[in-house]
Amino acid sequence: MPAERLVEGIVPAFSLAVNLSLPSSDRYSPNGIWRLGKEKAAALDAIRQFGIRSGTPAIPLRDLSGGNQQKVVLARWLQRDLSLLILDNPTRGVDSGAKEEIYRHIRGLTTMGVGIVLITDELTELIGLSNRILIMQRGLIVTEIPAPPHAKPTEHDLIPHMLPSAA
Amino acid sequence: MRAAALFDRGTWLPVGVFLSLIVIFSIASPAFFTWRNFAATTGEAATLLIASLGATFVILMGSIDLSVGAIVLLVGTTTVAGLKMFPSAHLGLLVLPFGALLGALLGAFNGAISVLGRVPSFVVTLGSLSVFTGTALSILAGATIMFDLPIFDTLSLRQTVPHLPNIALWAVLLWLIAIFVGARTRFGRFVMLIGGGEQVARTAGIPVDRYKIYAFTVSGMTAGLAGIFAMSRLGAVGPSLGSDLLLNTLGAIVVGGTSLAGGGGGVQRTFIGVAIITVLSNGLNLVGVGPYWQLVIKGFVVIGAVLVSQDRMRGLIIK
Repeated sequence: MPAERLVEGIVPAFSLAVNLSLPSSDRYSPNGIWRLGKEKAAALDAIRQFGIRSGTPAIPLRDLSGGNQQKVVLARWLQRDLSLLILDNPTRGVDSGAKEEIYRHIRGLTTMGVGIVLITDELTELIGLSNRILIMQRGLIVTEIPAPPHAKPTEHDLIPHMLPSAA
Repeated sequence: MRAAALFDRGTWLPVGVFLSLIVIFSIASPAFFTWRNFAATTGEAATLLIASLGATFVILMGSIDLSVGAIVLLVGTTTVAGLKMFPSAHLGLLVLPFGALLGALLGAFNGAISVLGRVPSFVVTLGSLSVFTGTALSILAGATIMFDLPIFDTLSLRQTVPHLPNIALWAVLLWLIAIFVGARTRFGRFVMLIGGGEQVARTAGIPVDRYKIYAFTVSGMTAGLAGIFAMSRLGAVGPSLGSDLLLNTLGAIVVGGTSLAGGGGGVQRTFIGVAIITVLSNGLNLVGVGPYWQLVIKGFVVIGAVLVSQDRMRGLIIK
């Protein structure tokens, strides 16, 4: 999931259904002909499952709030059989209510055995969601901090590692 | 982008313009609203429509194909030259697939250079326009080649439906096929997505480069078909074949309501754009406006159409 939703994530002028089916063309057009009915049904399903407020399959995505847009982006990848999902700042520009819902879905994914790589600048989000935290500088991993549910590091524990090290 | 959205608010303005033009010209010239004029106009419009169909997909994708007219000329020229060289070959209707294939090859050439060479389509098709035109003109050597094959008469001029030349039926058929392709196939969907957001499409794993080449190939193919139809309708191929198509195809696409930035509009709208452009030319002719002034007026209409549509779609980017 890309960090810059408006540039890399969605096509604002297109409908919810189209944005949802974006990467899954093999599902919707197995022989070249696009199944519009199936696409609409999937859209309705996603609206229900993700609680996308005021969403209809035909609504242009720019008419939805940032949080709801992000839900669509998340939903589109969840339609596929994932073994690994990379999330780049998934809750940037999202209100707190929608944030909680997105976290819930991410956690749900982990229970299904999907590997998650979370990239984020929000430390609370990072600590709360992760099992392992990797801090990188200049493209190299400098520290690995375990963050199991019962022994979470605090932000203070992380910050020293984030400062640029000498040499 | 579902069936219900195929004909929305954006379609009514062009339709309104079209109807107004009909009313104006009917009042201005007694010869306008006649069956004979209808037959002539639909014949003209048909070639334009066929040529514009493929080009619409290229525009929807956010690119542009300036070489449509040149492909029409080259395909027409090659076909006629071939027929002259092999007069015993009773190719008959085989010219159609031949023209389509040749056009498709030329279009693929455009697409390949644009994608593989990372050259903007504007530049590539500007160059190929020159190449194709030059090649065709040297084959013609300045002459107009005439030929006569009864099959061509049936193909385009015969009126199976009274007052409607066959070529118009072909055009409508191809238009309907194009609408289906645009709305209901993977190709149509991908072309829209690439036009609506190329970055997003790439991130989502859509094979953008491949489909760009496909789109140019289709554009070339319809141009090739248009070339065959034009040739059969006129019974001759001269140096000026397809010369007005550059402005007319783009004009028709834009006036019909498809955005030059890509991702908005569609082949169904090109139909009304073609109707407007053709009626405009035809009506101005009957009213006695000279050909040069017609160009001026047509140019203003196209500019006006782009301005109007720019209000509705922000961010006009020509690639």
